[in-house]
This record gives sequence, structure tokens and C-alpha cells, in this order.
Amino acid sequence: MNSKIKHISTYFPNKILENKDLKDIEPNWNADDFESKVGISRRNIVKEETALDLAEGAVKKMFEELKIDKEEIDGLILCTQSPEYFLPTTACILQNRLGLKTSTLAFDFNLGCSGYVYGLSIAKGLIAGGIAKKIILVTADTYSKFINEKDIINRAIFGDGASATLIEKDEDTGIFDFVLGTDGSGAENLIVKNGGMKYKYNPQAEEQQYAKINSYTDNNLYMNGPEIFNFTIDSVPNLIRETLSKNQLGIDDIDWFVFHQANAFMLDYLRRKTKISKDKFYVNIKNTGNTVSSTIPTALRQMIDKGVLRLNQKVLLAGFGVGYSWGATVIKI
Amino acid sequence: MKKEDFLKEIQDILVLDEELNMNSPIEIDSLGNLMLIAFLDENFEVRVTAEVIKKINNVSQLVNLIGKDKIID
Repeated sequence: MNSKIKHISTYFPNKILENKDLKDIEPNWNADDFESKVGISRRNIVKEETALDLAEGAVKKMFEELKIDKEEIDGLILCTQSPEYFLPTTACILQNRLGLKTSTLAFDFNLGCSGYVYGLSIAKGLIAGGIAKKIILVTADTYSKFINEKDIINRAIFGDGASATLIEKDEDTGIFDFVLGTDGSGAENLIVKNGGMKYKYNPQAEEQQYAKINSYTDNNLYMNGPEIFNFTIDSVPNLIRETLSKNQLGIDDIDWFVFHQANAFMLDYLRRKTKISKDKFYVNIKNTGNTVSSTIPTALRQMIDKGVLRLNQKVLLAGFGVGYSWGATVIKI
Repeated sequence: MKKEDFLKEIQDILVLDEELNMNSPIEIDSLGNLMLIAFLDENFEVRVTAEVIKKINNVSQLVNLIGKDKIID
């Protein structure tokens, strides 16, 4: 049984953090250089809201845009690393908030930048197995809550946001074969150490400094940027080759490449390494920053709104990051 | 790569106004780290880790990493 993406909605919190706001906090930060290379000038961040609130906002927006019968939804999958509680599962609370029927399957899964592609693979599997017919895949994260106030570079890179994607069974193939992978040896390179079961949140955690102007503690998000970049150089070109080969497609058969929108400079380098032409490679994180698992659906929605992504075009999606975890597939909208 | 091109590339990566020579001290910020990784990989097929970059504080150390024979006068 085939499945297809029917609709994508996105939702962002109202509060906007501009580069100039960060420059005011840290005058030694080169905001112009950051903007020209990384491609981010502003991002939305939460005040009091949680990822659950953003998830609810994204799905409600989809209901408004699509006018679908909620009774038809029988699956709700939430990708988040910012759960409401340790338990219960955030997706269960979301099911209730949205008023979805109680026969809806609902669960969270914890992945970051690879999460959207993994979510599509789960939805495809559930539909192919006859377990569900109409699934909402939600991505929602609030990394800003993890980041230290004095960690200017990570505050500049990450934004908060959510997306909702409706996936339905279809006669046509809308979601092709997947290549997924994992290398947990990189776990320490993108991590929030404290607050889980191993290390409790520590209000006295020692402040550590990196790259002169940035500080964090083990209660916060830590990212070893150079090592993450090395990981992407090692993994992404192979991921693209394998995904094309598994789907028996050549690079010219793909109309668009949409990679996890992490950093414009990094993406351009990966594009050159994989020999993808610039006109088929979508990058736009100027106003949103890196919203983790929401970057790919956000890019797809932007492309649909701009009219650049047209019906039946093939799009190769690739997500990669925290874990390390990666995944890619080809879709047709 | 020609020495003058190499020095200009490093100057651009590190967003410096002043010209560099082979013995200039350098300081690499977080964005410079990424740019340097890409530059060395693309031009010299040399991969450097975060730990290695942390220890680089002048141009000559960078040249040693690439191999002196790769930079032509």
C-alpha cells in the first residue's frame, strides 16, 4: 500500500530574536559575518510556550487550512526532544488537546535533525502494514530553552518551531525507499547532559567557555560544531548516493534536494561535495534559523507557497545530526 | 596552492583586515573552524578534528598540517 504527503503546515512562536538583539548582548560577536555565511538573520523563540503548544498550533493550523474531518485521523506521531514531561507521552496529551478520536494511535519519538525523515518512514510503514490510514506527523522543538543565555552562537543558530504533515494511503507512490543510519559514537558532540536519568539538573553546574564569547553549563545544550561538520562531510555524500541508488534514480531524476537546514555555509559545502547543482538545492533559514526536525517540512512548505515545488516533482530529503542519526528518502507531493 | 592565494584564503576565512605572512599568529573562532575544515578538505584532502584546530595558533602550524610541499612560493 502506497502513501503520500497531502499537506504540510508550520507554526512558530510570536517572539522574534534578531541578530542585532544578540549583538547588543555580545558586542564582540560578528553578526554580519554570521549572517552572510550561516544565512540566518532572525529566529522565533518561545516565551512561556512549550513544544506541545507549538505542536498543537501546527496541527490546528493544518485543520484550518485543509478543512479535514478530524474523525478520519487514526495516527498521531510526534517527533520532539522537548517533551512536556518524562511521562506521559506528549503525543497522548496532544491527542486530547486536538480532540482526536480515542482509537488514534499516538506516540513520541526522540530524534532531532533526522526526525522528519524517520517520521515519514514510520508513517509509511504504519500505512503499508494496514495499521493506520491517515497519519499526522508532527515535529516540534524548543531548543531555546536548553541554550545558555551567554551561548551567543547557539542562540543565533537555533530557532523554535513546529510542523504538521498529513500522510495518507494513496494509489500513487508519494514516499519512496529510505536509507537510515546511526552512529552513537558521536553522542557527546551534540548533547544536553543534565536533567535526564544519569545526571540530574544541577543549579550549581560549572560555567564553561568556548570560542571566547560563548558560555554554557552541563544543564545546557552543547554542540561541538567542527565535529558535527566533520560527521556531515563523512556521512551525507554517501547518504545521497545510497538513496539515489536504492530508488534506482540518478541525480538528474531529482527536481529538488532539501537537506536539513542547519547552516547555509555547511549546506553549500555539502552540495558541492555531492555535486548537486545550485538551482536544484533549496536553502532558506534566513527568518527561522535551525528548527531541528522542523527545518525540512518548513522548507517544503516555503517551496509550495512560492510555487517552486510543483505537483509530481521528485524531492530528495536528507536529515542528519544529533545522535549521530541520519536518513534520506525521495518524495513526490 | 600558491603561497599568496593560500594566505589570502586564510585571511578571508578568519575575516581579517591585515595581510598574513607564513609566521602570523592566528585566532580561529567558531565559524572560522567550519570554514577551515571545508577549505582544508576541499583543497588539500586534509581532515582536521576540533582538537587539532584548537591547538593551531599561527599560520606555520597550519602549513605543517597540510604539508609544506603543498604551498608553492
